[in-house]
Amino acid sequence: MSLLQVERLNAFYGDFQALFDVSLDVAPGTISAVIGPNGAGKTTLLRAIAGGVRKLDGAITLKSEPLRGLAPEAITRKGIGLVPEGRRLFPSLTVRENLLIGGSPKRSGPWDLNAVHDLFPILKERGHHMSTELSGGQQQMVAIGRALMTNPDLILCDEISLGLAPTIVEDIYALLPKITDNGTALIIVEQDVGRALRSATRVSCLMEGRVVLQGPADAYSFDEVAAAYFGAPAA
Amino acid sequence: MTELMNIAVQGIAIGGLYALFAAGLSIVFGVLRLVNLAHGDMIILGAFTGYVVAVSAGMGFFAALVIAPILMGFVGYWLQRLLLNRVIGKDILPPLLVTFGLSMMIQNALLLVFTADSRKIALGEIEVASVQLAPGVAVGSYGLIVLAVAVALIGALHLIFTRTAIGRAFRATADDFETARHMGIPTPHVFGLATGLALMACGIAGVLLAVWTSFTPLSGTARLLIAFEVIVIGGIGSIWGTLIGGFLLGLAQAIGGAINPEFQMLAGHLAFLVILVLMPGGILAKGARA
Repeated sequence: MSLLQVERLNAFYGDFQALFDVSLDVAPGTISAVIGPNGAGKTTLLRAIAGGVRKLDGAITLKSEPLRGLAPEAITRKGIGLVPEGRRLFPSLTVRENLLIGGSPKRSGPWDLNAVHDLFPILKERGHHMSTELSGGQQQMVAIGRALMTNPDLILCDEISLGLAPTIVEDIYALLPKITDNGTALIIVEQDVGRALRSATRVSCLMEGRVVLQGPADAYSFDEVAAAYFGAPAA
Repeated sequence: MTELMNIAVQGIAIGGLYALFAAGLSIVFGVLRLVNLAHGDMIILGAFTGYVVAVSAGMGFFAALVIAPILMGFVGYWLQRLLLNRVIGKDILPPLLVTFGLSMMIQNALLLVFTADSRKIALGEIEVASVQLAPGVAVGSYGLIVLAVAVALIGALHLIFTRTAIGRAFRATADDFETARHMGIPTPHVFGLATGLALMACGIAGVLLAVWTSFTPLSGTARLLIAFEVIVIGGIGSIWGTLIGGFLLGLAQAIGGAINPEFQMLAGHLAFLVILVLMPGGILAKGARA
């Protein structure tokens, strides 16, 4: 039984088509990686699922409930959390307040302020700081914690390693299984193909808005993915 | 010396009223980034609502001070949900045009119902009574009441913005409206509440104005100008800034008026210009907001 199903999704920005017949299946408690070069449509795919793209064709369902056409806040209430590209924390809110904002849909589940503090103890310590005073890695933890606070069935993570030191990225990736242990699924958009293959159970590679490679992450070697990246047929 | 003290006291008392004029404008601009050109007329609508409750229905001033803001808040919520939510977006022109249209509609509807006669809510002895602060320094009791209401309202707004879940949602929405939606904040409702709160403030300001001076359906424009000056002086989007801006504008007018009664309004505008040139962000500029 899949959690999220995306079927033959086409997305448009005005007359420009950003996604062509993209399909995706996500099972509960799994990590799916979406990779591809800049401009391949990875962010558009996440935005489309989260309700941020107006012009869409095709079907998006979460636990068999259609999501396409719903407002972003309604989609969050249905159980999809978002860790946006560039984190997009609220600058006039403290760390604690940023987390509490995620709690506003009042969905029931294992995640509350204490659970997020257990996952990222530093956020408890720095709770009364403004989010802008934190280091990049800590800000990313706030962004992830804020999404967790909505108690989602699925979290969309857009480039969580962007601009962070490699050791910090390792630390954050090491914590992801603690999130999926509860049955929460993750879709991660990642530039680092090696990391994506290591941490994900399934991988989809996008090129110019089309899926060029899709399947279990351990079925593909780095070289095969690299070949797909550069447009050559996978060996 | 006592004369100076008297001027200062008068300026601060009317400054409280000016802060009340500005509070609603500041909320709507701060949360929705919407410049409400009908704001002055909404204060006057609040004044007429208060007049109907206090005088026409004979329930008196204090009933009006409670009922008019509640009615106005209700109107504000639905005005936002049914009309203004449809026009806010990346383009700032549509909301300007719509609120300008609203301003015309409110003025003309009030003219139709209440005619152009000037009205006032009479409060009897309180209006002429005064309190002796020091030998030779006195302040009108009503001025003190207005000042107390202004400080209480601004303080309450500050607490709402900083301590409550809805205040948090207000600030998050103002920071980044799109991300707020992705965190599950129902922005149409949040915007409705913000405008509702703003119009409640207009209701309070309107009822207090209706005792302070007489008003007609066309009195709104002058109040809009004052409200704008107050929030620019105090710092756009800052709640406490409206109180400081109100005091400064009131003081400038009181000082100007003491030099020559004709200078009263001019002194206020000059103070506004000086602040705009020297501190374009206002006295409590960003960083001190809410």
